[in-house]
Amino acid sequence: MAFRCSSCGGNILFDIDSQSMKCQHCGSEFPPEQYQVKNKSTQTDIPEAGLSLFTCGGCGAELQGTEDSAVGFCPYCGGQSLLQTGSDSENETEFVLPFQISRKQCAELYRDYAKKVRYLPKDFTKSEHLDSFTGIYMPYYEYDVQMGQSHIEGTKTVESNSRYEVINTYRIDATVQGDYCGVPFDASRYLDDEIAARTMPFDKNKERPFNPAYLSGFYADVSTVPAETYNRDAETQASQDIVAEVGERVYAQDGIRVDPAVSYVEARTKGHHSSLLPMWFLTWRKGDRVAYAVVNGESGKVVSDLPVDMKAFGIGCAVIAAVLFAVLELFFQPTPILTSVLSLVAGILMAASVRSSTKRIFEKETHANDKGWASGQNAPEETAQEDGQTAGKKKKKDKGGHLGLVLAIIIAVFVAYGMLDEGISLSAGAAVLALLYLLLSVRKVAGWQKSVPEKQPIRAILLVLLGVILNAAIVFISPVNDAWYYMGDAICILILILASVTMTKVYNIGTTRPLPKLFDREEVGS
Amino acid sequence: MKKRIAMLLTLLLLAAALSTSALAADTIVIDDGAKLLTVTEEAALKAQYAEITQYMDAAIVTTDSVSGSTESFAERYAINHYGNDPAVIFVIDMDNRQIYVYSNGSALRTISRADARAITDNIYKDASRGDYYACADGAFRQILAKCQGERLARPVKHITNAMIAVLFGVLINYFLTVSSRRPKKERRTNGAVAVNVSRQMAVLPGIALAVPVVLSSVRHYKEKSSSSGGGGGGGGGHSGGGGGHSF
Repeated sequence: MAFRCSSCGGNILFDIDSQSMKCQHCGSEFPPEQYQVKNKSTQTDIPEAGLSLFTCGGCGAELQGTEDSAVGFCPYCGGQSLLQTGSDSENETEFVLPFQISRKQCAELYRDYAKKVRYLPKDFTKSEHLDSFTGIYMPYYEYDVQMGQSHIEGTKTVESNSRYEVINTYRIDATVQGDYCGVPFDASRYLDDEIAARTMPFDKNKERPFNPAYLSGFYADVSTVPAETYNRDAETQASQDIVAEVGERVYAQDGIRVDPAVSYVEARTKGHHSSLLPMWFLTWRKGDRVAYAVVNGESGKVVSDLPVDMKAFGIGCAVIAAVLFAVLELFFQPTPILTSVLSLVAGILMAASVRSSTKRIFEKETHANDKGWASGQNAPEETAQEDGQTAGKKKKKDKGGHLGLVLAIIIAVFVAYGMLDEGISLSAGAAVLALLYLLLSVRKVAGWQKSVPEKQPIRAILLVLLGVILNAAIVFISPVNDAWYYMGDAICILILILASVTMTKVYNIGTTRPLPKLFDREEVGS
Repeated sequence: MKKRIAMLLTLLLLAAALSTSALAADTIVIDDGAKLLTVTEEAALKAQYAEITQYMDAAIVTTDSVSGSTESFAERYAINHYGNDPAVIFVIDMDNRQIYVYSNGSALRTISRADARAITDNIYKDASRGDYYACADGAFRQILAKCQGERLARPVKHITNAMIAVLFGVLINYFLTVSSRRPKKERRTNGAVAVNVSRQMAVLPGIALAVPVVLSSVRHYKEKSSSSGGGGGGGGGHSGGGGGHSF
């Protein structure tokens, strides 16, 4: 289906600047409403065909669009082979929020954003890459949630002096009257929930009744997630939002500081409606990994995966190392024990980092935090478990990274106070702590590694383990001859330097995503 | 007559004082409790390094019975013999198998802890071989050089510092990069523009909060950690420090 100019018969596309349909031939402008088509929900019956379906030959992504949409890139894999494969007459979308940000504005916004990010690959800011931004309407469910009784807990400091303070703790119950409407969750299985959440918010006031005319020149993803998937999340979100608003706008006036961790409002999802929300999508591909840059097509908010350019990062490391070397030469006289303990601190920090990056890769590979994806992957148990959770309750998190940081700080404080000069006992204690933490981390990373095709995470953590074992051996043997001590420390540091490079590669994998393979996608609809 | 006697007494006192001071300042003290040095070696050390005493008092102390660490032994020795006067003490502790250079009082400005470590790093092998004279000679040669404004040899310092700098350079850069890329926590409120609200009024458009009922209000008295209080501290105190190496 293509829209034609009623004056000259030329091709018509939606023009973002004028928010109207504009003839590409004679420049005539028409209100989009003039091109209404058959729509189930609005029951309008004005002739024009439904939307066309396009399939990406690269990854199998299936998108809706008008015939004019076949100019652009697949938002999921960056491929250009989008082929028209049929028509979609079953569209049930009720609202659409037309693009407010043009491709040019989007590219400028992204360039400004990218300039502030250190070590981003240069490709990200090249004009030819930014020209690949593809406008796509993402399907969203907007849930209406009925609010009930609120249970707010908060504190207020009523008296304070140099010796003590008196804090009143309040538990306040009040009824919240009204519905919280339009809590949005993405209805596409293939749009990562994290990206969808970070792209928020959209201004609902700019939504219009659905009309395919707005899609002219853009793509639209189709709804592939059952609407009930996010019922519970919508209630939790509504509860959190209302608690925050009540805290800021009502109780803050009395000096009561609301504790959002324990406060909640009873909420129940009443229903939902379907909307298409505008996003500019840019896909950067390297091997079997992709990185997404998404710009909110209404507000211009930028959300982006941010890989690290290893060459630029290496230069940055060299500069910092040179400054650090100058400072150390001026103020630091290394001793074997001190060098060992510093290596242990570095080992723990690196293990914590590899652990956290590997977890992130694991989550991306398995879509562990993507309910939309899970909804089509026969994961009823997880969904049911999630649904059974009380609003406000949070999932158990891996605290290993934080533990590593705490350990590293404790050992670093020992070093700072020169306590380790006293002898071997403290450094031996530090080595034991580091070894225990490392062994636990290796176990964790090995568990996640099973779902991660790249081998860098396990390599990185094993290198760190090797470095720490060697270091611990040096500390325990404690050779009197400095030559042995320093040689051991040198080998250990070299291993750790190698591990730190691998660690950065692991982080880099975590900033990208596996290339999607969507050939099995099946529309679920709402 | 009385005047002459008084003058003579004054001169005698002055001479005595000067002679005591000269004794204290002219030679290094050797307290060889562990019997590691021969009389000839002691004499040679005294002769060779008397110049150090122009800058600070100096002592070589050897011992084969120490309660506690070599550092605390050296500190106790310094307090007992020199108070707060500038002094440098070289300890050979056969009990803990450690050599230690301790700078007392303002001597720490000349021989810092880092210098003390560097000195012992450079001579511990002599102690390991049992050549205590060479060890003490090496210690005082470096101490004298430092007093004269020369630099100490630190053969492993540069390479070790370079490796530490590279390792922590990568780590610092890595954590700066990671932390600067971490997404900020943001509210997800769906673009609903909040209106001006007052108590019991609309929270968001279409949402109102009924009269709040305070179910409980509990008072907590939280004592603050006492960082103040007490009078000013006493003056003085002992300063000093050093570094050592096992052998």
